[in-house]
Amino acid sequence: MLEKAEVVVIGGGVVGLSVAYNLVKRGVGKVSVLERRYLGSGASTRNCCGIRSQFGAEENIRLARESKKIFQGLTAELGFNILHIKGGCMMLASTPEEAEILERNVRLQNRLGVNTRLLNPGELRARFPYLNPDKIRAASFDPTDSKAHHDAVVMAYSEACRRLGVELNTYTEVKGFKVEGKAIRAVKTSRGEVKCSRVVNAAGVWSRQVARMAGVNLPNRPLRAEGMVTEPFHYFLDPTIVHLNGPLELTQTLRGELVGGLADGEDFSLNLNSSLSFAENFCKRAVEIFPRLKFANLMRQWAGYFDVTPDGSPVLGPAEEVENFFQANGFSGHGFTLAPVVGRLLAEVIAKGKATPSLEPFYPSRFREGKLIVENTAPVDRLSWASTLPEASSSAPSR
Amino acid sequence: MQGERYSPRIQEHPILSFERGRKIKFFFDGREIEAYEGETITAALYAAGIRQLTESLKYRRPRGFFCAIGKCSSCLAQVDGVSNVKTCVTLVKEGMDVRSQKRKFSLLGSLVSAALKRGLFPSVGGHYKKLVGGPLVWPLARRAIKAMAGFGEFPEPNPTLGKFLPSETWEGDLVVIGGGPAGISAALYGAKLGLKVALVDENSRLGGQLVKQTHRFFGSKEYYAGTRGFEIGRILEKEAASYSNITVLLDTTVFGFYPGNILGAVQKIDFCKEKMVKLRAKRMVFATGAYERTLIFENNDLPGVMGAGGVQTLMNVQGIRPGKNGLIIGAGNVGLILAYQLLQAGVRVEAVIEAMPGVGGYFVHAAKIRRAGVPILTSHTILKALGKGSVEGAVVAKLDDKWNPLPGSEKELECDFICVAVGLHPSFELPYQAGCQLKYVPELGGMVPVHDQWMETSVPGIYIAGDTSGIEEASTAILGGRIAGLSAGLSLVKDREAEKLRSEFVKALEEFRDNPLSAKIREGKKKAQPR
Repeated sequence: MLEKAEVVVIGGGVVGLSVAYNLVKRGVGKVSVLERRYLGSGASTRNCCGIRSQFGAEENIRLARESKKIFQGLTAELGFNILHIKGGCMMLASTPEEAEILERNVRLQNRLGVNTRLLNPGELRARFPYLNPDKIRAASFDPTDSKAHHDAVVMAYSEACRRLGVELNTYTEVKGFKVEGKAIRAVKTSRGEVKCSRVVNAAGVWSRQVARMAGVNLPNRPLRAEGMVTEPFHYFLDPTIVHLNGPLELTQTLRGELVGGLADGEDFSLNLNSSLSFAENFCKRAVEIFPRLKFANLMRQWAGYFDVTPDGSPVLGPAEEVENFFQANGFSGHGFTLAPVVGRLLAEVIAKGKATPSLEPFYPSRFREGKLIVENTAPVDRLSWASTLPEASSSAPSR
Repeated sequence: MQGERYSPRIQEHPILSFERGRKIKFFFDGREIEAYEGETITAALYAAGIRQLTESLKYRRPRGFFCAIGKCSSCLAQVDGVSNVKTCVTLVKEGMDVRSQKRKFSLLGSLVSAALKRGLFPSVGGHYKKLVGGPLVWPLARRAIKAMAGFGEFPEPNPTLGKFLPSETWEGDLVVIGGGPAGISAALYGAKLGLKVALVDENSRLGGQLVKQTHRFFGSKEYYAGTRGFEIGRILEKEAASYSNITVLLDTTVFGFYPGNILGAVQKIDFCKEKMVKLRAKRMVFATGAYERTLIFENNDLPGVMGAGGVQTLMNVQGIRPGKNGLIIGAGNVGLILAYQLLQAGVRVEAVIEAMPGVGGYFVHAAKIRRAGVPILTSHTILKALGKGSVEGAVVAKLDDKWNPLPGSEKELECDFICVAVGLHPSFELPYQAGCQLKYVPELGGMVPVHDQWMETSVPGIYIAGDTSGIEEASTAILGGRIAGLSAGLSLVKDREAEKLRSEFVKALEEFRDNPLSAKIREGKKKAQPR
């Protein structure tokens, strides 16, 4: 393990790897990635592979729009096939409130140059005959949304990192920081200490814990979600289907399995046990929307987590309390979509040492300033804790 | 028997009698097939001479069933529009529309399959690194992959199907998974201590693999010696039914262990009519049995190459002959008993092949089939199965003392089916999910949950019995099941008599294994002990 690195990236998930890759590409010097388990062991490879720009906040739409462009050429850029499929994403709404959200989002997306369309019932039936029209009040579709294999994306970034000389340390846990004044000087790990001039916190659901070790307070919380796959069928389902309630997500892999997931909505623990209640709820809800699914068998299920913030939008940029400590977390379920663009923008900020306009709204200071980026498609919307959360205090807890 | 015209359905059998239901008709790929009510789809098709049920995903090789008990997935077909139905455990019905799950024709898919067969594409994982360059490569490859993906169409079934009943919850003291000799015994002895017990099995009757055994058991009278296997199954089944505190859940498949000692299960009421059952109990006994191993040889996936247990199911439960002339691989007890059972059913046995220099099973069984004129070729192995679409013969060869085939010793044997009887490995999924510590113990057949003499695993309150605790036989499974059931009960209620009884069963097990043939088991059991 390196004794000294220019930048230490905490977290070997898709976000951390993307940041590390973009940093070395910009030539910032030695970059070391610290991962407590194996690469991609967190939310990166537990999600449903969807890539979309159908968001409800302008800032998120802008970011996702750029990320989609990068995904488009990522296989060529990284020299590794990420199994990208441009099948579109369909967002569904059942209640009048959800329908209103969709309609509002589509208007906003269109204004920002994203060609999302509301589908009328006739179109919905003609193009997606497997969906139950009785349970769907509104549907929006963007044909430029896509999906890619999450394992392949993690592998693609990690191979590129390795090629460019990034040090990837797996099974290396962060134990603390050496902080002097308003700067981190070294990261203490289970395998020794690394001196560094900048640190990126891309630790997913552990980001809050990691930040606390440096005296930085983040409002993030882990939210449990679970996923499942069915037996493989002949390929028929190109789009990713996302129902706003949950959100519940469903699509088909290139092996033919239907893969889907649902946020629990109430469980904030980090336990990764599969639950019978997920199997029951997911099946019930999915069959309601997609009646023929009742003839499919659930083959495997697993659990994962979202790192959610009070406004459902990511925390990006330098911490207020510690200036050389950059955050890339709190993605609230959209880390996979946003990883390519966040890696690129954050590397730019770190390399140049100054802010980028598209990243600035996401700075951690927004919670203190009350400038929230409210994302209505994130699971966080329905969480009661969001409104009652105390403001992030600037006084550092004892170390 | 020898002179009579070959008919696949067994009419006369020296031991078993087959009561067939009403004669019915169903369709396979549009062709009308005759069957009898009570037969599985696979069995009825086999009787009609249809062995190929599906094809492999990548190379499109023909596939037929291997296990006949719903484990191997090579019998999947579309039934009344529902894809991926296990036809070996689904009963045939009048007018049923069964279709083999061949892929839709796609020129691209066929070209890729052909290219793969010739090794033109990089193998596993190669697509990540090879399919990267050029604007056309991935779009084209993606279309080909889509054309090849998956088994069966996404269901577009008959709208009258698919009744799902509201879920049910069963709560009690003890839940036993697996209704074979071990599981029934565990349930019985748990019930004797007054526990509220659920006995769960995925088949439509209790007895496990005993239902297909026609031979008389050895040992002492107390443990059913002298009684035929299927009769022991019936005795145990009846005894279980006589306890009011045992709830028997048949046609019920447990699909997962969840935190809080909860099991998720699905009960099949009819084809596509199912109910979810949640089982919550203070104690659990997993007696989930074993899987048949297969052997690596050329064309080992050819329809007609079947597991020994699969052949027994087809022949002794369904009453359908597996063919006219069979070859058996493996001269352990299963292979030897199967040879005799085939003879009973009027099927010729070409030979029994054994890689070891000696017969692995009991001498009596070997002597019986030798007397009937069946050659046992020791130090021999199978090199390949012959045939196009179905088994038509086999090539076997002699082995030298280093287990290598002797050049020039190859010979072709005639046969129209091949039974693979090379052992079993424990089914450990449920204990694994429950967090039980596993250990690889080759003497016991592979991965087994670590367990003590009271059959308790490393997770307190979870017990195992039967083949799950190591591949052995029905007599020891019964004893192990009794011990597990008593242990589960004794952890909840105090009973001096039961404690004494349990010690007696442990002693009886030791005595049963006190012979040279059980040396391996004794060794294995030692290794599977907790430290």
